[in-house]
Amino acid sequence: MKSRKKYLDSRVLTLMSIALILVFGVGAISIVWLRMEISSVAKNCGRLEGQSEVIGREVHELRGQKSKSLRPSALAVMVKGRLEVPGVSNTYHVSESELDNVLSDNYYFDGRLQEKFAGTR
Amino acid sequence: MVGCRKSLPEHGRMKSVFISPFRFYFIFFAVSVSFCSLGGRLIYLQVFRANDFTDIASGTRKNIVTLKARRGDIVDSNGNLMATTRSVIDVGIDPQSIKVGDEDKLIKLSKILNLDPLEIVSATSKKIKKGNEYNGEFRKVRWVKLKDSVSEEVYNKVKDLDIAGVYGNYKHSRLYPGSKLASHLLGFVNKEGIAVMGTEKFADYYLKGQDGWKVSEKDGKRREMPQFRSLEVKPSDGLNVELSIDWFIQDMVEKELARIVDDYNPNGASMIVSQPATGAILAMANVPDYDPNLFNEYEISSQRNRAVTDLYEPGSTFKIVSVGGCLNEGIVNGEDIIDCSVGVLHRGQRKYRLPSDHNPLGKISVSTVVQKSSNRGAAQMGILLGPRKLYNYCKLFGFGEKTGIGIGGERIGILHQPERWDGLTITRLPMGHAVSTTPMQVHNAMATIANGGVLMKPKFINRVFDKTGKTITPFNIKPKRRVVSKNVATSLTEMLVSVVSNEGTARNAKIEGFNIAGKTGTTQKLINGKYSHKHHVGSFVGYFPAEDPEIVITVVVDEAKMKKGMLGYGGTVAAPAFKNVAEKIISYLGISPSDNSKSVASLNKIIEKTL
Repeated sequence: MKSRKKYLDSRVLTLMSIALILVFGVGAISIVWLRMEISSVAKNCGRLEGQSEVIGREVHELRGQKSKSLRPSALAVMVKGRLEVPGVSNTYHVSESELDNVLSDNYYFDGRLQEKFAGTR
Repeated sequence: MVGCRKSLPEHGRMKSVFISPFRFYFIFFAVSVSFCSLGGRLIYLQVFRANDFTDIASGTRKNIVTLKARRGDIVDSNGNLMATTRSVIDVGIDPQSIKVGDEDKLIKLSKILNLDPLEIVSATSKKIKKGNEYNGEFRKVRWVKLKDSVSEEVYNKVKDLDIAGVYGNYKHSRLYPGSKLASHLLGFVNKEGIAVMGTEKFADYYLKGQDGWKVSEKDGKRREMPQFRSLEVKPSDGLNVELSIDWFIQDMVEKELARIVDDYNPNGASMIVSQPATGAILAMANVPDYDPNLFNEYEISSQRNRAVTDLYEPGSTFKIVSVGGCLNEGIVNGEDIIDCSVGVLHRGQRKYRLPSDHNPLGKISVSTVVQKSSNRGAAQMGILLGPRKLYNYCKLFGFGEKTGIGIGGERIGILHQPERWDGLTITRLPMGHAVSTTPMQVHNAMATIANGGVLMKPKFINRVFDKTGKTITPFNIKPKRRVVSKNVATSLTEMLVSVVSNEGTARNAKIEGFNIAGKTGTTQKLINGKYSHKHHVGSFVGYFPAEDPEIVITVVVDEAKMKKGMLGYGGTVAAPAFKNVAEKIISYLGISPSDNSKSVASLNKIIEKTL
């Protein structure tokens, strides 16, 4: 009886030791694994941050270039000889009542006008 | 072995383990001292110097990086980008890291960076430098700058070469997409990142933002290890500023100034365009001008905003002050007759010597005094008004004080107190002599008449807004004071309309279908203490449509070089410039003409005329 009890005690002790080793071992490995995961996620975040910075820089550069190419003198060069702001003598002002007439159904509309000003030139 | 040992004689065994006491104690002492000293050193390092070494260790690993805030943008009233911030790279080389065999790559690098290959060779050979006067030891050189402010595109080409030791540092740089457009209004930020002038300086508080920082650790190759980032304070980017100027109108004005330079090659010229009702500046330009992207390549004098910094005698444009004052005080009205044939005027005990007119005008009405720009007539207005009241009206119109536009460098001009006037001032001040003003002051005075007699504070910023477009700080319109009554402003406008007619001095400013109100001004410049007959400042200030003014334009041309026999009068050099810009603005803004019967055509008439 005595030797059996001793045998059981030693088994319990062994099992407990193994359990403890397992808990601490797995725990330690888990911590290391977690730290590695954290490192890898942080590195990815850093990389994405870098990429976002690069894109931000490119966006600002492009905005600057777009504005440069749209400045009035650049636009004027692009349409030189074809388009320009009409002079005072070529500017006509239509009264509100005339506009109402245009919008009304009864207004006579010349087909030639449509041909000339509806984007056919 | 045991048997063997037992077989040895007793004295022989004793001899084999015998160490002399001296030697034993000596060795014991030496070993003990060694261990004690090691232990002591360990205690010294680990206990007494622990903090120092911890600091050194953490300092080596610790990585504190400043996160630079991005400076805000400046846009015009329509949102067109006028100043922005972009990232550029300072490319450099670490002479210690250059590998043998990279020579070919260095030649390619010199081509990409547009440098002399010898410059790169010289940079790679600077391996050691001597410290400063306090620390004279030699140190390794780890960075030699090769090229400043390289674009991202060029830097990518540099990176593709994959040369060990060649790398770049990012920094923010200001870009002005319009080049010279509105350069004096925008100002610039210098290489040290300091806002020097213009909007950049005025709105620096809003534009600059707040830098952030982050604390983390770095590895052996000095790369950041993000997993050890312990603190991060994000930078707060600068706010954006919306100007009141319209860059298309600004472009029209600058093109006109370029034409003036081509035709007359003046010492300088300024133009201002604004809305009288709000005081909002739509355009402001000067020649000579400069490109804020390359500010260090231009002379300092080109960077001066002459419209607010340069003083000149305004001449006849100043006559609106004396005439306006007299009308407002009820001393005269438009139909009253002034005798301009007399050279000397006696009033009480005093005798006033009157200035001469270009042509004898005889007895003319007050309206004609303005129309013909009579110096004698204006002088008599000044006498009628009296020194104190004349001075007060000058102050009310904004002369002798800053307009408050806010652009740096604005001058108050010269307007003496009546106590300091000499005998001639009362007759010379009403015609714009004995006073020095900036073009902006004259512009603001004329805008007061256009605005029904109310002086506005000029403004060139509409609002400050954040990146979502939300207004953070509005710059509202600010009326300063009423200078003359609305009726007087209307009467004065009628007189000024007659100036821009075939009978007036500014017939070159006439625009068909529009009533233009304006005044020319021509002053002789003081050369060596005397008024020169060859050097003039010609100016014109006008507004339109006269019945409901929308735009005020000022043109000042300093010393136009005229063809032989011609003089740089305001009506000759400045009025045509006014007309050219005004016509373009009318078309651009779609301003309706004064004469409705001529311009408001029926659609059928337009069709007939067009087809």
